[in-house]
Amino acid sequence: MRKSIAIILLTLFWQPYAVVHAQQEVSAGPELRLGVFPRRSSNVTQSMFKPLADALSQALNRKIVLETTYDFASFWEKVADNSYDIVHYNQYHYIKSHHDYGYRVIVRNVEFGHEKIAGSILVRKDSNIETLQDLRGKKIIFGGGHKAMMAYIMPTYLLRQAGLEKGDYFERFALSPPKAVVATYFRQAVAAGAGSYLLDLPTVKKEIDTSEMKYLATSQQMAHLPWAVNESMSDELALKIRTTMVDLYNTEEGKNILKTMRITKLLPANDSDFAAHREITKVVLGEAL
Amino acid sequence: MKFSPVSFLEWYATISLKQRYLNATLLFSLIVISVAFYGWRYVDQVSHRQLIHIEDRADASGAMQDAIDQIHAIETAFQIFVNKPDKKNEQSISNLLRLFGSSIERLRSNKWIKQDSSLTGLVISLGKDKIKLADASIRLIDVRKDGVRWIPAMYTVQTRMLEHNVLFVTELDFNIAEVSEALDTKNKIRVYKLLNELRHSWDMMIGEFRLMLSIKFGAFTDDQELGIKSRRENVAIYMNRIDGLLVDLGAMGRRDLVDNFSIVEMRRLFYIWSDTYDSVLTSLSSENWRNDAVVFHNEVQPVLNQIHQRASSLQLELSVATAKNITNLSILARDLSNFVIILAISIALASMLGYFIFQRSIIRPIHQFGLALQSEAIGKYRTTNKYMISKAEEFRDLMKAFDDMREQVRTRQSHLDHMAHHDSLTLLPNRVLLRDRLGLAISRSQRNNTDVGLMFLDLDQFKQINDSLGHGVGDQLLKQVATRLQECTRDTDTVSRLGGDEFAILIEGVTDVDQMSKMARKILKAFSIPFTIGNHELHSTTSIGIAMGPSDDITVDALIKDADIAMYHAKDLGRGNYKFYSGEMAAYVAEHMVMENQLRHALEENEFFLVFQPVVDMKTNQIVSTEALLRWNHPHKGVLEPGKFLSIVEETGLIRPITQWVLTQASHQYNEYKKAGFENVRMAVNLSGSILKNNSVLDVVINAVAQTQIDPNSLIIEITEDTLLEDMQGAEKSLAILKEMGMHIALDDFGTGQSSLSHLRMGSIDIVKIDRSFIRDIPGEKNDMNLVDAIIAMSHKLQMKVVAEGVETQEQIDFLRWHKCDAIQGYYFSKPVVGSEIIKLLLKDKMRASG
Repeated sequence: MRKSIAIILLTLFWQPYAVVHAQQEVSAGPELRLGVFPRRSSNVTQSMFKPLADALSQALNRKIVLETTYDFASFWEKVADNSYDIVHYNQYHYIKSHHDYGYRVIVRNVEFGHEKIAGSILVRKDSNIETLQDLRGKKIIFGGGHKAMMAYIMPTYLLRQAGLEKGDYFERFALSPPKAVVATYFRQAVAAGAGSYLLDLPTVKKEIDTSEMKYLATSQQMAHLPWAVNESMSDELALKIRTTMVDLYNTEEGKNILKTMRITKLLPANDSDFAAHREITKVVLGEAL
Repeated sequence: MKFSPVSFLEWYATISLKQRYLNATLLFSLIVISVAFYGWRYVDQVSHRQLIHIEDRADASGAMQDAIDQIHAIETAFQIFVNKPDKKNEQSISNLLRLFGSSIERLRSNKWIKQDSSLTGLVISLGKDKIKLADASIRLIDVRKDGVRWIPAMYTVQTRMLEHNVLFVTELDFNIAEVSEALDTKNKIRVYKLLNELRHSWDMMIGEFRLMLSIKFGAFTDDQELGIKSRRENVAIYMNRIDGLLVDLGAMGRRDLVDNFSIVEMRRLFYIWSDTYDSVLTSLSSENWRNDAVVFHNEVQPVLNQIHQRASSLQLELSVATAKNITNLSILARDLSNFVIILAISIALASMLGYFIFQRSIIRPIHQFGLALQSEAIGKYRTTNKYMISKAEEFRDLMKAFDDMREQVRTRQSHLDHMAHHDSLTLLPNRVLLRDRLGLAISRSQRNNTDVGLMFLDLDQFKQINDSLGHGVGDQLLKQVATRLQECTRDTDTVSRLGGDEFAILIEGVTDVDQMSKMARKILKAFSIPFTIGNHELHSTTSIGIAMGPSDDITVDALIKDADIAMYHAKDLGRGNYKFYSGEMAAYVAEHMVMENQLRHALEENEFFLVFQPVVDMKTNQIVSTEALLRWNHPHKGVLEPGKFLSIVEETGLIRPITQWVLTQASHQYNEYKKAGFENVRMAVNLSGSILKNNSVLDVVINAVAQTQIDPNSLIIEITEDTLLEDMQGAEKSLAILKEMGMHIALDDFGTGQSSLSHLRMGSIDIVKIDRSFIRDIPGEKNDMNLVDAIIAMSHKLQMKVVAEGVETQEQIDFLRWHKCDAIQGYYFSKPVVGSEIIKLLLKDKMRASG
């Protein structure tokens, strides 16, 4: 009888203890480092993503440290070092980091209401450029460096599909996709490589008369910017992070956080979502990732 | 008062044009100034902004270009340093990096850069790139300066391979020298040959190896890979040969044909050299055969590329900003052009509106005002309200002034009309109005089958009254005459003054000639009552001429002429008579006009001649003077006396030349007297009143005296009383001058004119000639006798001589002699005769006197 009571008592007390212990094991976890690629300046990145870091901190009951770098090289060094537990970057960065360092994607952006994004080449309507072949020998401004998925890789893919190889046109690089479109509007180049909804952006509309521009070519729709977790992160934690980030859309506070990040919502993502990106990267950069 | 747009407009329409246009001008000026100010401010702000952007961007562009130039220079410096890693080139890199840093600082502090966070980030990144580049350049410099790290293979070559090469060659040369001293055997010779061959092969191998090194550093061949491959193959060949030769020599050494130890040593050195050669070859074949290139490629070049890309991005932004500025300035220019066009159009519209308003508020009212004036000018009266287009104060004032002026004009016009049709003194209708009424009256009389009676009245002796009592009295007399005439006539009759002392009365509805006679008598009776003017009681009569229309004539002019003629004839009848016009009167007038024409030619045709009537002194019975009397030898009527034509002469102005002629002829005749010895016989000449009026007599007499050289003392100037009545003061003056010249003055027809006694007061009269009318009835008529006696006595008292005219009987002579008349003239002694006859009479007289 006593033995039974003892067992029962033990069982009764063990469960809470186990739960508490389990909880304590989660809440007492080490801080996580959240890295965001330097798409924007450090200050802007901080202000945009700090609310998310705080929300994750609260949800995960652990400190989330938001880290920014002044340039991409520095950022990539940290990615290569697996310094980031959670990292947000572009599609190329993901497939490369996944290939080289084992990062796993958890969510992907929905921006301006678009789940997917395409790369495109834009020209002025009065430029007399009607096909991609007309760009042979012309100057094209890309809205990012060679690693910019939508601003360089996708538009270059379009050019390759049209038979234009490196050397068949002049490449120039703007600081950002909007600036590439603006530069093309002001005739600094014949065409701009950028994302497919650039002409809808308020910042672009403010600078130029978008009615004078047109999309010469647009690629297939591709998955948006991903968020990935370190290879070493547990699936449980990764899932929790994913859940927290996806659920932001369901609360007002979460929506505000998303708005601060200039993101509509976050969707769960899998590695297979980026298969097309791998194919295209192989064609453009010659990298089999 | 409730404000409403309508009431405002009504009020606005009444304010003065000056105020209205002042308000409009102020408002327009305010608007133009405001618009211009706004436009200027807008242009100024935009252009200022653009200029600042341009300035800032130009500065950024300059700094960016400097940075790019420095980067290019740094790249060149790296290349130079790699080729020649001396202190100077190293310092050059350091200097250029410092300059590059200063360019980046300039960019960092640039305002245009600062206003864009992405550009600021870009410049910050450039700064960090610069630091990276500096670090990389340090590493590059270190590697390059360090011979061991620069090209590791070369270090091995320079140390181990060279050392072993030298050792090998030394050993070999030693053996060659030793063997060459004793070439006494065939084997020794063979050893010698082997050693030499070894020497040659070694040299060739080293040569090929060195050549390969040279090719590796870029000398001698375009195809480096092929060149190196060839040299390697050659080195391998030579190495094989050397190896073979060393084996052969080893065999020889064991036979003591050569120093075996040396051969073994050479072999060892060769193997070390060949092992080292392999490692050198491996090192040279690797991608990292030059560490400076590795550092440059891995560390320096990426940073440079990054810098180039960032610089390219920044230049792109600069270009875009320039394009934006150009676009903005183009937009500004376009806006300015549009503004100018809009302003020009606005001003044009404002001008048109202003013209419209000006036309409506000023031109149109002025035009209407002009029409009003024109209407007034042509006599169409319209109320000013019709022309009151504008209610502005100025126009209201103008309209009021116009109305006032029109009223005044009408009043004056009316007054002028009245004055034009009425006599200003008597206020009676004048000749013009009379003619007008006469015409209407004639028309009415013809319709009504009645007559129109026209009376012409002339006041008798009015000139005498005017001259003696003054024009004031004369005017009063005329006014009273006008009143009396009006009292004598009906309201329907027209009493008018024709001018001077002539009046006319128009009587309509005459059915019987007696009506006119009665009227004339009534008028004459009215004139019988003296006119009291001040202290004067004047008796005035009038002569009335009456013409009847349409019986006498049916036209105004004809009827007037008929009445005038009738009046003329009434005057001939004496004072206070009336005469009806008859056809004969017209004939008389016609005859009068014919005679007038004939008289004009008479002087030219020498139809005038003088006759002379002697004046005989009563005491001596001698001819003392002769009176020159003018005669006209009329071509049809025979000889005419002055009475027949003198009035016409005086009317036509021929009196002066005729008088001149008479004086001259008379003077000539006197000269004949003088020639004949009768210089004491004076010549009397009659002067007309019209000559005596205005000093003309002086010219006439002086001319005659000058022309004939007659002694003025021998001339007697005879004047009548009537002559003096017309201008007594003037005549007195002229006569005084003539008297002063020496002439004698005789008053002719004394007693017949008015104011005879006053004439005797004139100091100029020397002789009084009693009119024949007084002598005619002597001695029968007692009054005449008394008068003559009185005249003689009175004249004598006044120291005047007396001559009696018209003496025809002895009785008259006796009477006159008894009453001591000085001289006589008349038919008793002689009728007027020609000059030659007078001479005869004078001679006869002289003969009689001498006995």
